[in-house]
Amino acid sequence: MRVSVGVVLAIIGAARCASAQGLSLFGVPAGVVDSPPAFADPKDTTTCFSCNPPRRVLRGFGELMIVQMVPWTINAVVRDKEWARVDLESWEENLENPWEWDNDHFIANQFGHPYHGNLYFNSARSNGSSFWGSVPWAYAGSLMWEMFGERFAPSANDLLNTGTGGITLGESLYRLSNLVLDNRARGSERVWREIAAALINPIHEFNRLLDGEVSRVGPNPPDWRPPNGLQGVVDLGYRRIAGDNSFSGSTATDQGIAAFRISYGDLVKDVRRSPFSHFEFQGEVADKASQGERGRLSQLTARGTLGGITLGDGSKARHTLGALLVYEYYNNPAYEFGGQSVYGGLISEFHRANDKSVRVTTEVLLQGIIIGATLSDHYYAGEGRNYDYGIGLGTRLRATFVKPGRALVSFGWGGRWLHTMNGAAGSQHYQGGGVGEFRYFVTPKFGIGASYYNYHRKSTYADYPDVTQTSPMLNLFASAAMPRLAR
Amino acid sequence: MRILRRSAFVLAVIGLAAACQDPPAVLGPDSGITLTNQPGMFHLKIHELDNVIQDTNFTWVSNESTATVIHNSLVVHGAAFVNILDAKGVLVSTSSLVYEADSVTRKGAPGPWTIQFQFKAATGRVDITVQNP
Repeated sequence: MRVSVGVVLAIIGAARCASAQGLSLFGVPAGVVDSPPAFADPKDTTTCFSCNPPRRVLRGFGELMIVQMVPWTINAVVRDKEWARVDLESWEENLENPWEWDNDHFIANQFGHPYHGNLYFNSARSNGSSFWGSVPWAYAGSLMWEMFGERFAPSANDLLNTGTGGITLGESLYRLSNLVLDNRARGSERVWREIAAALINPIHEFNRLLDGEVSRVGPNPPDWRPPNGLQGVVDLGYRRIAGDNSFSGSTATDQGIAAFRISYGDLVKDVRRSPFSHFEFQGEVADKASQGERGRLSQLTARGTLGGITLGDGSKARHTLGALLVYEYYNNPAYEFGGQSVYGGLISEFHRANDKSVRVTTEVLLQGIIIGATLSDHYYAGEGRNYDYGIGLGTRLRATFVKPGRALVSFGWGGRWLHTMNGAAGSQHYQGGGVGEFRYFVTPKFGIGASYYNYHRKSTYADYPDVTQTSPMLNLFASAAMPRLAR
Repeated sequence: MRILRRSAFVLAVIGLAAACQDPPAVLGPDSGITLTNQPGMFHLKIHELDNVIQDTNFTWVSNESTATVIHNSLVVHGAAFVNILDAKGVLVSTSSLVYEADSVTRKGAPGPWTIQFQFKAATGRVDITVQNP
């Protein structure tokens, strides 16, 4: 947990560090770009030592093995866990026997595994591989662990969560670590930047140590900064979750929350560029008393663009057909959902001709859930699993009105259907609801806001009665923009 | 294309290996069974499960209305479950056989309880204790 807090702080720092960027309120550039001397010609490797790193497959493989060996050694040697005592016989059994479904706790399967997948992904990404070239590493690293790192049967949910979640978290953290780094910096600023980068992406920083880049001074590669703006925001506030569809009474839950949100690049402009030229990275922790055994981490989501095609680009509107890769982890008293998804659909931007004082973006997206986990009313495995696994479909409809540097209003609806493949027999879960958010920045640095989510769930079971739940959530918060907004 | 060929090769190897799975078995002398069954204390150890498919029941005398279930099993493939029924046949506990976990049964009628084990292609070992507090 301490490491997680460190990573969160470092990520928040990432937003602060991008001080030379065009500033915005969630991806709307203010028209300022990094000054040219900061960046090098990417082909000139004599001066820009971080530009065009060579593809180092052997080093990447060695780092992948280190990533495997560290948790294995801790469990097999330090903690003396029998399940980690692998040998030729256990490898043979894992190869011979059918795959199964892992029954670990929600946080282990839906956060721990994807985080490790991020390390596998970055074993390649931080050694010169492209995004797509690094994708197989996330799955291969997971497959290696499932087959040879533990005696338990390999499981499909682990492979999909580690591999796919590892890609989404991995590329997000790779870019965030680059955002923190500044090869021009010297002295204590340089030290703190390198420490922050190490917390965000330890594999990347390990390679900088090996290559002697942590202390060398030179220009930054151009792709270390998003071309179309960056905005981070930290929220501190209060949440009330209605119990039995009522905000009053003893069934309601109160939570103190701290959240961060980073929007890298611009969804509409960058969706056609290379993968994750735009991504959003959000996290939230809530007080321990209200979270109970769920752990303090109540939300972690990352969604990055994979590509898109322009359908229309006029003076008042731009329409793009885009695809996004999404990692989701929600674990609060109202609901529990984690999974890996691909979203695709229409992403549009509207504004007055030659006037971008107010910008409207809309998303009409269809969600394909590759693997999803959600709380089950009737499934419990002795190891701690109390949720169903399945595949499904969903949708995200969203309209966001932005007055750059001043205010944001967003509303929409999202829903998903999950068909259980493992868990409570014959169950289906339908969940979602309307969402609204309002933010107003009193100064370029500080603001206030509120959001509302009318969460609703209906679960059907083959052997039990249907279960319906309505748990609206109201958030009130104060915000700090990092870096400060340009007006 | 090269990545696709390599992936196909890896999948083929895994598929061939899966075809070599051990045949289904039942508990026998080779399983290394150690049983302690006395009023207030039940302890079952099975040293080796190898793709076991079998249901087996034990009658155990519970002196109290509840019992503590102490798991120290390691079932690495397949599944194994334990159900405990009280003297009136009411289910007071159901669980998979897991690694390092304790639980307490629901309240039931003292007397002869039934401890049911279900092994579904289970590989690993069993170590479970059911005892009155």
